[in-house]
Amino acid sequence: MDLDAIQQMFFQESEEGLQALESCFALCREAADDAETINTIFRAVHSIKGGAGAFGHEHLQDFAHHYESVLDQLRNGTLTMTPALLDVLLAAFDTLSDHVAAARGERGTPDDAAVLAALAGVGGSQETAAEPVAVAAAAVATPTAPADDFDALLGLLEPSAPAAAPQDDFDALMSLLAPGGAPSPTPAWHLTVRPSGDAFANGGEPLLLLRELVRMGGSEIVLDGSALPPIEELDASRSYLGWSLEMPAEVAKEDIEAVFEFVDGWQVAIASGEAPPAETPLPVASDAPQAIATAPAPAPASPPPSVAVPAPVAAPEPAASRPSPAPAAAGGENNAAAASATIRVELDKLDRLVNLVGELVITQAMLAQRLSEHGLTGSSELTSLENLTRELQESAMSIRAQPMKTVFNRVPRIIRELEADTGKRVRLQLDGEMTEVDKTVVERIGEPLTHLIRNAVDHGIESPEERLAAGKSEDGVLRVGAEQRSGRIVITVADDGRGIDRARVRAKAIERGIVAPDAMLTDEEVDNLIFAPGFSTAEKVSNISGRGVGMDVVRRNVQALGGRIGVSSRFGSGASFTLSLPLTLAVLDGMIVKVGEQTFVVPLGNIVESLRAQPGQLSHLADDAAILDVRGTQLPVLPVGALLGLSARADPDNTVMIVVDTDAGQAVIMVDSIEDQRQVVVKSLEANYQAIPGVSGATILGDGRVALILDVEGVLAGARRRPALAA
Amino acid sequence: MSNPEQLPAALNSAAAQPLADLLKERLADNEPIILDGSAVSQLGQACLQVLLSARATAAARKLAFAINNPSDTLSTMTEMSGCSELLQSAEA
Repeated sequence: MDLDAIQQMFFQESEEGLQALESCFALCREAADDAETINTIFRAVHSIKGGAGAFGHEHLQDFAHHYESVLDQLRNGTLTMTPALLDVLLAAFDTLSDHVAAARGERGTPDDAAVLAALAGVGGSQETAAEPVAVAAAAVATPTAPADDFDALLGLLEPSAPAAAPQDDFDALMSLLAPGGAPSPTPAWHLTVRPSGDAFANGGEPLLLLRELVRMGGSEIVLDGSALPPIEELDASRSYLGWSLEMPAEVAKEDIEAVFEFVDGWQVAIASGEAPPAETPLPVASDAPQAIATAPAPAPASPPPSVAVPAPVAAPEPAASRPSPAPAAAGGENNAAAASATIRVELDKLDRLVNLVGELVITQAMLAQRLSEHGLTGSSELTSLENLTRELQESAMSIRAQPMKTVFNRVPRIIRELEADTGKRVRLQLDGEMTEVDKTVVERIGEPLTHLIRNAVDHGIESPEERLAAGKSEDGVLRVGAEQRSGRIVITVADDGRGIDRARVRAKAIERGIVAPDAMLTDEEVDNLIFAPGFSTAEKVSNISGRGVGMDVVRRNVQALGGRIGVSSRFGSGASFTLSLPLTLAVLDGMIVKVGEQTFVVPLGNIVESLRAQPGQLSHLADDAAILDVRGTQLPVLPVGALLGLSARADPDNTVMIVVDTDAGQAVIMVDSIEDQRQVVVKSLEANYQAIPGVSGATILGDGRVALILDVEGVLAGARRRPALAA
Repeated sequence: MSNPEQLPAALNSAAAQPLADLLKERLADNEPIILDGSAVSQLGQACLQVLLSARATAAARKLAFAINNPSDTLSTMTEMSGCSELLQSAEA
């Protein structure tokens, strides 16, 4: 495995670590900040710091170090959790996320001065005046040096620092390095380290890891330059040096191992006691899953504890759902267990598997059809094959399923930013985080969801003063929930704000020419006007929820996912937006219909009922436009054949009416006949051909024919542009 | 003894090859290596080992090697890396 791949792994694990942090901070907000939660937070930040050092992300490493120092004080009881401290930790968490993004090259290095000052403030204000050596012996230093100032930090290493130099814990710790300085803590671990020859690739800087070991209490550092060639033979891009050092007993072995978590091919040996480790640590094959092998000490009476470094290829399981790491001294076994339970797989491989399974489903259907043409139906083998294929498909799809938690984890930060921007106070309730949905849906739902949340806080929830005046609590409540319902995922964003002011919405819609002044609209229809293109009721454009194009874009994005969005509201009491989405975009339950010579699939999610029009039920408005009376409700009839330019039946006796539900209300699709109802494998038209209005994709039927999947929303929108139906 | 050569502020991995080339050239000409380390604000392993190698090569050829006015960073990083002797003059 090359260094780049390991770095990608570090970024993935950092992302999971950040998600775990968000979950833990949510617990802290609910005052559930027990030792285990704090420890989980500490470990996540510690792990990010370790990886950052391995890949030379110095800003990230330094920030994480200062963050970790405060967390360590919280962990060991020097600090106690208060609302003010939680605010600082949350701000630091946001900055840490920004630093990770910067390390990935997604943004510039964040300005962390204010947050570092806040961290130094909380860390310093409650610091005990413990004797420096005693603090050093507490395993991890708690520096208060300026954050990004490399010189200042390293300046503290100076053994003969003048008396006026800042004296802090780090200084005390570093003084242990100086000859004649304070005595070293009892060494528990003898460590030898030799970076791999290509340790400088990808910006790697071994001295950052050495520095981290020194920060943790490493001492008695001895350089091994025996492999260093004369200058003429030296390749400046290769590493030749090695080190040995002693680590104090107070440092857990896992913490030492964590420093090397994201390096590959290094020779690292950790031996207990003062006994030197094996003289020649075995090099690790570069493509072996383990990044580090630790050689045991020469077999004395008490064998050294074996060291199992978690394989970096492990653990795709969402970090938050892992069992919380046990305290450092006992964490190794748990980590090893978690590592063996999961495996990380490239998405490409997974997609290939899902595609192949899709092809298998189609082939199975074709085989079944071919056999039926020869009168070979009803064989038990065929039924078994069909069941197995369906099961295989469901299993393959479930591998791609992800919990909504990955989307919901971003919500608290959005709320924090909105609170800061608007001065409003919002209490967030998240429900159904573990609801699983296809990865593609998870990836694409983030943007519309973010917009709905921003909209709810910006336009829905009132300021604390307005809320008090309205007899509400100062804090607005925003509930974001997800649940599976009837084979779809339903996401709700509800607030207890001012709700939709229908009179204002109606007035604005009339002013903008969206509806006629004398139009008779139901409450639901008025509420739905906010989704009209260009509609905005904001008195002034804000930088939070955009320029009035938002809700229209939200609806289009949701529709592009095969979903629908609805709104319900009570003026003065709040509004609730509901998104209903398919669980996956790869398969679809549909009704197979014929229109002329063509076969189409109508998504089952749209279908309400199907019927044959009785005499008198159908009223023609024009040659190609009609209204169907369905139990007293007049619904527009969409002649699919005419709309798509096909020759199709038009007489009610020979056609079937399918009532469909859309965001724009109910309508009727007129088709020649219904052939079947089945699950189909969706093939993208955009990827294989080009987008076609009114058609959302294609599928291959059992007889090998291609059937287009109708985009019911698109067909209705196309029909409404026709003068007869628009009237 | 020639004029001290100023070491750059950033002795990172990118600076290692140019530094190695410079020192190689000096040693090939049998010149003593006198460096000024006052500006160094960053030291990585790649440059550290170039300096160590040059120092050993100079000693083998009985040429002087010295880093004068080491900055705090240079002092602390060599101290931390277990090679304080790098800053001790090796006179011919």
